[in-house]
Amino acid sequence: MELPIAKDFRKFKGPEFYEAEFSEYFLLPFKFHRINDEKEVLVNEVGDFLIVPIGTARRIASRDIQKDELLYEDLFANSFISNKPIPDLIDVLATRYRTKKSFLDDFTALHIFVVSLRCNHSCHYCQVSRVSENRQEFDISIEDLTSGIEHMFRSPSPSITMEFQGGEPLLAFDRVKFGVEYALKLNETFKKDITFVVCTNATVFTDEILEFCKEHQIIISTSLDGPEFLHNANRPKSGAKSYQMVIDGINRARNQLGEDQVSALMTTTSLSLEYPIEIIDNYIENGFSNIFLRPISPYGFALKNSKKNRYHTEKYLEFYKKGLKYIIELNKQGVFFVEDYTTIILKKILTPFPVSYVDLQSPAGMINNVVVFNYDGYVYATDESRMLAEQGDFTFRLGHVKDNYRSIFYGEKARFLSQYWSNESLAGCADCGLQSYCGADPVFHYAAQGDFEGYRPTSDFCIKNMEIIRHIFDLLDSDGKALMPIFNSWINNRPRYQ
Amino acid sequence: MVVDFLHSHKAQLKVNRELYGEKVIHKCLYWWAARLSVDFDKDDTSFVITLSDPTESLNLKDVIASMKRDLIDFRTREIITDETKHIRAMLIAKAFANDDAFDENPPGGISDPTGFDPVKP
Ligand code: SF4
Repeated sequence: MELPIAKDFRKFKGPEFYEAEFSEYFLLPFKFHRINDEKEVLVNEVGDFLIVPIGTARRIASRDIQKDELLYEDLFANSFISNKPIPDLIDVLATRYRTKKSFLDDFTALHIFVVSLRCNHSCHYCQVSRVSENRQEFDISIEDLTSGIEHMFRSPSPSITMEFQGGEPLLAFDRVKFGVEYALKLNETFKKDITFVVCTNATVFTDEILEFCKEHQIIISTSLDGPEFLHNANRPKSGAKSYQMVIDGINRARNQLGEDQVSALMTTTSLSLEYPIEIIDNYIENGFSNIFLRPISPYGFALKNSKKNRYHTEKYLEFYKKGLKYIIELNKQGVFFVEDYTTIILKKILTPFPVSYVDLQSPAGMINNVVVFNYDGYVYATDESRMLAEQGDFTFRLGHVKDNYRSIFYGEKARFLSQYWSNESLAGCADCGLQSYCGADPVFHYAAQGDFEGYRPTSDFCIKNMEIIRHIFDLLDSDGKALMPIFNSWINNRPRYQ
Repeated sequence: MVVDFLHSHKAQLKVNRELYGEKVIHKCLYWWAARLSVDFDKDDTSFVITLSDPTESLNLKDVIASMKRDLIDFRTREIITDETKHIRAMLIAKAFANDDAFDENPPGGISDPTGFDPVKP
């Protein structure tokens, strides 16, 4: 019998435990999913897994596992079966389950403030209907910004992130400045742990802006789509070359704020799909040690410009796998470089802790972990919800900043959405073996399929996540020994040999 | 599962009602309904499933082979779900119980050999 592959932090019992006479065993809750032609993965209620030959789940359910099989011990040790109807370790399992869901304890942490819709770029895939640079009426009012910040401090979370978005938020720098200063003033009373982030195209930095960012340790999150030809094609800017401007901006920000205060996000377009290797090389050339190979989302301009952007999920998956393979090869050669989406999933698979990534949580990240204060004072459940609102669809509008906290965060709309935000209770997901590592995204399914619950067999969210998680298990099965040190270094964000 | 007839664009299958419950059939067909037109009926002893693929883009023989496999998988899932529903409910109730209902220190601890510490930045 082949030894199964499992997460290895379980505490094993001594031999006497297994020598006991068991006439039968009891099942504990678990699910399973085929990962290739020979293997399936068994996943228990707290996310522990075993990679085993296909048919093992059926054998377990039909009480066909013999106690002299090695598998029998593994199933016991990993809480897939028990020798008692209620296992001795029920409280440990409950603690583990609670830990996995502990992202719910503190409620909303990420507060996004869309301080302006103005932008100096006109990216064809822009997920926000931006307006031209000189239209100040699309900046958030000081009054609404003040009310939004006051709501942010009503969150029970001891750690909060205040993220400024646009448009290009730095075109409304006065709002960013006011926001940071007012938040810090209130924090003298509330004493929360605050992180400030500005999502910017890095083309409008001034000395004043960078000095302010330095003084308040503001993290710069910018956009870099890869090599010059690709970035410029994706992000047209009238009368200038965006690529050179963003690289200059990144370098300027790094010099003034420090390397680790500047991060970059790429957006995948149909053009990018042809160039995974070039994009990764470009990130390395520009001094980054990570990349997020993310797909374009079905919102805002992205939906309207279907010719350029509605590429097939299959093509994205090819792009992702080709990119991941290349990144793994680089790591095997000693280059420390991380793929972020894989790392999020690996943390869910290989560690007992929750991962704060709002697009892959159950219950979903909307409201529970993120909320958006839009430039016009309205509050939305997620960033994508306000992008739908820019197209005239206000389904995910929770209220106005002037409304009271309870009605926004616990109101009728929030309660309605909560019916669709747990994958444990969604058709298709409820039986899925990958449920513990995946999430629920009612906004995506509403936008893409016109249905909050969504239909999994044609859902790009499901097709993408099911294949990526399956692929990661397939890699662990085929090359686990070589890959585990690399994957652990990604989880810990530390090069292997340090 | 018995194949009543199999043409290039249409097939009819009979599934013994004593072996598989209606829920299992529905769960299995949920995943196929995106690719095929599926009709579902029952007689005294069987569920009758009619599959149509007017564009003949799929090989129905292969579809039936996969469907047999899926039926066994969904039946296995049903057994596990039914047998473990109480222990699952207990586990989740304990996990989310308020402090007074969860005041004993559980045996064992949580550690992580990968060295991942979520508290560290
Ligand atoms: S979305 Fe798909 S992969 Fe994710 S839990 Fe649901 S069925 Fe599984």
